[in-house]
Amino acid sequence: MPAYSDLHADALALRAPFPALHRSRGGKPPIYFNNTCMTLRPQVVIDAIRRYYEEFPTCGGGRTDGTTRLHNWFQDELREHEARAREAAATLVNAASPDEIVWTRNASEALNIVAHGLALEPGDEILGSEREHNSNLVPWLEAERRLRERAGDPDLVVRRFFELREDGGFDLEKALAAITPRTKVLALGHASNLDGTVVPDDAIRTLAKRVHEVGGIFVLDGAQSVPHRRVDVQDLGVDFLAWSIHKMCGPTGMGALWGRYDLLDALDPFVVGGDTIADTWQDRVEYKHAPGRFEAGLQDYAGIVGTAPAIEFVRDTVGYDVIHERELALNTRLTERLAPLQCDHFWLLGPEDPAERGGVITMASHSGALINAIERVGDEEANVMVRRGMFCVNAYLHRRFDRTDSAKNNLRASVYFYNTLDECDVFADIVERIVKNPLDFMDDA
Amino acid sequence: MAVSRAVRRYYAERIFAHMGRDRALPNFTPFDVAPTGHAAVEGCRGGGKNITEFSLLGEGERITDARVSCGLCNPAMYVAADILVDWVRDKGCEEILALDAMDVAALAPFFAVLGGPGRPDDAREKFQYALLGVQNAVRDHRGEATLPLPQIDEPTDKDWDEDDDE
Repeated sequence: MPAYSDLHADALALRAPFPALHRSRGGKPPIYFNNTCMTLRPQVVIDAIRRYYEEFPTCGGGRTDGTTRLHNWFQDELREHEARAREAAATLVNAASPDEIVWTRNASEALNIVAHGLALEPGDEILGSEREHNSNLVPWLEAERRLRERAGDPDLVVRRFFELREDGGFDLEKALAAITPRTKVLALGHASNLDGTVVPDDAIRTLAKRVHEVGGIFVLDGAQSVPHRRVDVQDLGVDFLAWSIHKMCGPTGMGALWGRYDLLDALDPFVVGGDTIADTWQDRVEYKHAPGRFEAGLQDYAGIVGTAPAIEFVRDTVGYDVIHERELALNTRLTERLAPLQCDHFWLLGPEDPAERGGVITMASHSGALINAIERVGDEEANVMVRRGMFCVNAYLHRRFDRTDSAKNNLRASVYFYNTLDECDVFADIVERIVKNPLDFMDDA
Repeated sequence: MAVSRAVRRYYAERIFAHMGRDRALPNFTPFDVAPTGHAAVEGCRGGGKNITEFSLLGEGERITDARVSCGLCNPAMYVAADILVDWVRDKGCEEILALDAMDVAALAPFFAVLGGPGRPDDAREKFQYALLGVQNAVRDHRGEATLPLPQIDEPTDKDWDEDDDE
């Protein structure tokens, strides 16, 4: 691991491009530990968004099948930026073509497009882990509901899950054992937003091979992996990948769906209307081919324009090796400080080894008052921004922790490459004070 | 708004001390069967997801058991929920619904369980939320529509027991 001084020097350089990190409240800078939800944006992304509004604030459209609605100065400039963004997203995940990239608002919308668009039949089954994010659970529960209605069987089981290790780590054998000839979809989170655990690439490849052998497809939720590690869809052998651009320094409300083109183009469109159609008549519609058929109406062009700079910043300016190195160093520091504090009232979720948890460390307690105190004191004393709650993995937390009334009492700190070891220590100092004297910190709740 | 001494003592001695990583008080654990009545109340401001859920089991007009679930961040809400869940158990629906949550005098049984010192206003506010939540759960048990929450005054440092100057 690099020396502290090297990490600190790197951090100062990496923080410089982020205006939000140069703000101050009460004479103290922000400590932004909510990167699992949304990362901050570097100046280059902010400039790109502003440039759209200042220089070519017009509408796109018509690109995907070679026709163009507009030919003019602003339109041509926007079209260049759109093409650059789709190319950047395609190369980021090693897609075969930019036409395999669909713009969405977020990973949730991307997963909805797949879950809604697949031609499933009663008897087909959808498989996931017990810890899928609601965005990779609810769309499949809705698919289950639709199939139940079609089959006239309210008890039809469509969505199944397999268990993880006791500590939350991934268990390939359990996943493989859960795949059956009825498995039509394996919908799996690549990295957990709850505790940071990652499904290893070898396991992804093994699962892809098995699910293809039974005639199924593999939908990978990359919301928490693409911002932190190289994800090569062709190497992994998956069929769909959903991720969020705003979790990797990009504009708010930008996400993407990659799909193997034949499968993507075969999906029924989800949201339809303007720009999704090749032509319409009073009694029928003919849709465009992918990706246009999935991008209804006017798009978030400012977001699209800001997407390429974000991808290039994360992948090229910073680089995944640096991201991994820094996240490991930061989470190691947090773990070294917080793990010894574990007791009957306070504990950590997920595997003990920070190397298995990316940039995420999640604390839990039976006492919401204790968790609330950490969040409140961190904010008031040191501008620490963390996240409290169930993190959209309600089903997993209910299953594991309802009996001890701790399902809802969690606090997550998630770091990214611009965080520092000093920030980790400031936060850990606060946690330590509160955990050692919890009842003293419950005033002003 | 500081947590009152009465609330702090009750929470520390009767709740926090009995909860742990592998143990929870029965009042704060879910039923093994589907509840017959359920209602949620947003009893704490500011978080947007501060939903306290009350679940009841009942037979006809009698409530036989009750539980509460919440990402409780406020000791006063823990205390109020614990006291209300104990209070509602083995009571008739009419008796539960008869209390006027907006009448502080009607909260006397709960202040009595809290045990003092004094009748602090932070407990008053959470008793009101908890009682309204429990009453809506009773209405749900009966198959009746739940009622919207009235405006409840924010807690102050006031103590309703004027003779207590601690």
